[in-house]
Amino acid sequence: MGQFGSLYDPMHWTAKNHNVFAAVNYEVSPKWTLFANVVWNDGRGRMGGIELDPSRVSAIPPGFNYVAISELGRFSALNASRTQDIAGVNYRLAPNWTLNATYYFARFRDRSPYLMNATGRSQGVEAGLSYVF
Amino acid sequence: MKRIFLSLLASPMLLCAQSPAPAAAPAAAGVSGGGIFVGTRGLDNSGWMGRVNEYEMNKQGLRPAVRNEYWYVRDSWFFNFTGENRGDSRASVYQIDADLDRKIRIRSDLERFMHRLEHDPLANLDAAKGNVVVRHDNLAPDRAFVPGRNELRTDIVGRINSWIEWRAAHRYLQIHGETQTRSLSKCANCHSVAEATRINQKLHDVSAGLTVRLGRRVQLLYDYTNRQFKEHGATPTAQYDVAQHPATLSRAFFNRVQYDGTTNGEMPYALVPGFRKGMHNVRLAAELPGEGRLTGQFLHTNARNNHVRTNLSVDVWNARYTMPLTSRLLLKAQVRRTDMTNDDIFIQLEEPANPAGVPQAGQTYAQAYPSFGSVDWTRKSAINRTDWTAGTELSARLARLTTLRSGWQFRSIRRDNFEVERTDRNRFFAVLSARPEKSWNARMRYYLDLTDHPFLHHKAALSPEMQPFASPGNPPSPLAGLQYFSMYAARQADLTNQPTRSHLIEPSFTWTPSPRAALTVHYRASLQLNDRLNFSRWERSLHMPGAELWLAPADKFNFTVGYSWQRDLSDTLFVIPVFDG
Repeated sequence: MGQFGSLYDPMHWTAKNHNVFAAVNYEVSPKWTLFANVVWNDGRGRMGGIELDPSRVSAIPPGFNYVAISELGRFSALNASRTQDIAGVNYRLAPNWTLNATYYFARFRDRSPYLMNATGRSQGVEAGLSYVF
Repeated sequence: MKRIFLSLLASPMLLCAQSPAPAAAPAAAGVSGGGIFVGTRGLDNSGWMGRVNEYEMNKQGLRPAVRNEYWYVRDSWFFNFTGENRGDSRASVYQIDADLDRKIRIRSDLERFMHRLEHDPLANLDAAKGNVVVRHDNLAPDRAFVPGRNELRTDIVGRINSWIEWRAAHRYLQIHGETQTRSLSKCANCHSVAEATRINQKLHDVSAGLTVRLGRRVQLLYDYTNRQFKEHGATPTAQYDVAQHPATLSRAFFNRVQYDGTTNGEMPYALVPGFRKGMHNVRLAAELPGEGRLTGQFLHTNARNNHVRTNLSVDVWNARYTMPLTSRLLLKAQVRRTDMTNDDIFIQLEEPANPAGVPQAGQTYAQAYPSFGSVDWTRKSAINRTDWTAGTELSARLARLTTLRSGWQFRSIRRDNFEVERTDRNRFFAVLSARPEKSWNARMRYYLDLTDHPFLHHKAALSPEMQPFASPGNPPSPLAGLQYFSMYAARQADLTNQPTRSHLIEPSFTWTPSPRAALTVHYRASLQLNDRLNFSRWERSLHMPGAELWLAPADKFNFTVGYSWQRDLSDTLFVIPVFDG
């Protein structure tokens, strides 16, 4: 017990992360090539162990709400995943000319937003013509 | 890192479009080649882009995309240009690499990208107890903070003759746009205000150096770098609230107020000081008889804060000695000393006296609370220190393609102006690499660190129960009773995040059963502990196993897959100081 209502306790922080990646390249024929790669991460972590027990405090400041600070652990709680994926195809039109098409997908999923939600998703297609000289 | 990611992103599309690598053997006649990609990119975005596209422009809708490469080789002449525009001039990279007859080598690149920053809504500051209110004003609630970054870097290396080489480099970095800046008033309320502030930060590095070969065995190198940084954006200002009693709203804090909205008007905050830095680097490398090698280095750096006109100087002395003892044993020894010195700053505060008719009338803060002592002081820098590192390493070739490296390193940090005056660390390590057969290899690393008096915050938390009741007065007067300086001075608990004992072990094993398959499994464990704190113990453990598999079942088909798992656990003391101050 400390000065006028302060508490102290051992606190722990735990975090667990999973990371997966995969990539594939396949030359189907002299004209066709396929490729893809996937990256996926999942992270979870939070504080714990802090016991906010007002009965352990000899003098609580008037109006102070211990329940209100029980959400302290949420402030740094992490529960999020991210994926960044690419898949595409190349088609050789002629010895020097190639058509390319690529699909992109990226998503960040914030499963425990606090104050702000960082969830976002972006997907798109890029298509074009390559000339080698 | 970002460049690597972009390269990975772009490379699959160019795999079959790229010409053979331009580093081919020079031909008598000039040979050139290259490629160009012209296309379009359509994007659909939803949600917040600050995480998913933190450094990418990636605007919604259709945009052009262009990539280009051109190279030319003739004898000892070489030129290469690559350029990429990802649909916006603020998302582009251009590089030039040229070798002019082995006499001058030029590398230059320009990179532009955006950085999406967070917008703090300040909404977590909503709290109130009677008249004591924590409130906020966000003056730019809908603004996105996405400053741009432009970096131009050029390196030139030239050869005058067989024993003299010169080099020069320039780096220009600009960060411009808007960021969120915050000011905080207190006393009457805790009042946080956030606004959008324009920044335009420019950094210039100019460097030059020389390498001189003094005979066949000795080489001397000298480099000088000058760095200048300046914020060209205006420093934001804030009109702080009037310092008054939170309950009575009377002005009770006269003799402890340095500035407030009544007396000082607009005040600067979030100031970014400019600085300039000069670095001298001298190195000497000598080959000794018996295939030994000795290198010595002296580095002197002086950084000057242009706003407060203080200097930080750093001197580094470094020597390394390598000597084969036998055909299977190699000895390495190293010693390094770093001295860091920062100027003192004298802090002189205003000492107003309370006016007549209020408590402590006619008294300054120091007169009202004699136990506080003088309010003026000299700030001695905690940076000031001497840092010694010395160590030795023995490499033994145990068998063909099997080596064991082991050694000891001692590091001692001696600080001039900090409670932890001396930190000593002994590190013992061993690294075993073995490839007894073509089909598999293994590697094991182990580090043990034993540290006396690691860096910590002395008396960081946990004041004793000094006044278990409200201060006298109705409402309670902040002028009477326990004062903050007494409570802070009475804190008891030392806190740290630095260990006294640390273990790191990292085995890995690769199995290559055929030229078309490889499997790697690895594990990393780190255990850190500090059980010498006066009120608690600090502990951290990290476990990270993983595996990667590469398979090429056919000449034209291959795939890679990998997985890693990480578990991180830390324990420390946590103190919530709650009081009505």
